[in-house]
Amino acid sequence: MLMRLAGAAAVVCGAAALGFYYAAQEAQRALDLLEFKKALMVLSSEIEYMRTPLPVAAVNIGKRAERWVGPMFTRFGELLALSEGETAYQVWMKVITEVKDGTHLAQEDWKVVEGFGKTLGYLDRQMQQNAIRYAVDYIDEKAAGLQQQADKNRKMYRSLGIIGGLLLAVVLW
Amino acid sequence: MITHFLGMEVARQLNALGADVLAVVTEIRLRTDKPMILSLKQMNSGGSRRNTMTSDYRPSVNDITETIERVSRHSYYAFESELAQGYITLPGGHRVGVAGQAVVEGGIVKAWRHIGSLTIRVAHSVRGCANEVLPIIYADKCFHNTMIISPPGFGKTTLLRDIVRQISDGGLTVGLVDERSEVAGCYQGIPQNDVGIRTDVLDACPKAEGMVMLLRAMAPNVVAVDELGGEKDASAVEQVLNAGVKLLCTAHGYGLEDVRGNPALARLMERGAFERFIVPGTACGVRNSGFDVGDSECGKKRWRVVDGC
Repeated sequence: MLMRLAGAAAVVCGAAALGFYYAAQEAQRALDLLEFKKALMVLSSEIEYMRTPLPVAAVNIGKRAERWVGPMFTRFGELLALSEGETAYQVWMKVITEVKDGTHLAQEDWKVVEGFGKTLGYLDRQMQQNAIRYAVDYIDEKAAGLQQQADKNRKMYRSLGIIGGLLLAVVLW
Repeated sequence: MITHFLGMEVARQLNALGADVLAVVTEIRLRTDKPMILSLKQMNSGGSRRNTMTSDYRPSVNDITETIERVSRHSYYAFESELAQGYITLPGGHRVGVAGQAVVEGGIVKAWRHIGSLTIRVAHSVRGCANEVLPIIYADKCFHNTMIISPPGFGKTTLLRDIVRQISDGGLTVGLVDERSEVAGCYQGIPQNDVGIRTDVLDACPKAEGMVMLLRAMAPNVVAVDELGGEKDASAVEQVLNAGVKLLCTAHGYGLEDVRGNPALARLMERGAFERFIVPGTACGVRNSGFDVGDSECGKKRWRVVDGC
């Protein structure tokens, strides 16, 4: 009897944890996107006010940014400074394949991140700023939607987890 | 090495020429679909002529674009103002000149729509090339206001750099306005060429503003500046001299007459602003044989120092 109770409790806990995990996942994607936006805003001011060359700007951003964005920009800046004959876009894509697995971004987000890389390296100040603005607009829109959705779904995932766990425990009893 | 800053194909072609050729390259000319042409410093037989070498390689539009991206260190936006003037300076003081289709706004070149040719001038520091002229312009702890006059490519910047280095190491505080980043070759604000231990560099700063800023802020003994010419420069020079600070500068020309042809500089000369002029010595044949400006080993060029007083 005691074993049964313990088993049932484990099932309920596990299912509930799964529910909480899914609820958190959605919010993570928004946080990942927002961190990238923060990096873009810093890049924008580095370009506008300091005219910092890209490899240096990227390393500067890498030091300040968190989550996946920090290591990505640091790596990008370092590779760019060392690169032999490659364009900024080629280096950008190389770095993306390295960091891609550790993030919560969706395929459509990567399209924008990759597309942004295509604009790096050869644009004048105004066009570069436009490219940054385009990416930031996408993030703003996406993140707002995700946040809203996450708020709505959070409760659902959690209760689904707990109720599903209870149901499973009853069925298995 | 300079190939680090070029597009992949251009760098590959240059590397294929071998290290001994790369070591003596002074100029690389790239033009879309035209053969790459190199100028080489002739090392053997003490010859006094520059060699040129025409390669079979013809850069494509893409090769040129890639090279532009790399010489601007993937940061076209950071070099807009330099590019609008027609050049970018690389770390180490190498200068890349560009030509192509200009985008003009309000009568001023704002950018380039298509860049068709690049000229890469490789900077060479020649330590000790000022040894011969130095005792005449700097003696008994007294520096004389000096102007170096020579045609392009003759080595005035190289000479200026070595004078700055030597007087700076020798005890004078030098303020250097390096508008085109050619003298000190600053990268991220740090001189890549040796310009002495007492030298403060205003990198990429307009000459006239820079000279006045140095006076106010850095208390130099000598202000050094490359390629004087404009009216604004001349009035800044007057301020420098009125403050009792010494001046070391360069100007384009073959001799004193050419400089007198520039109204702003002529005014300064009349005022007696310069105590010494360094001009190409007749021995190297500048006057006699046009542009055959002799061996690039600066020390052998035999500069002539003219007393300005």
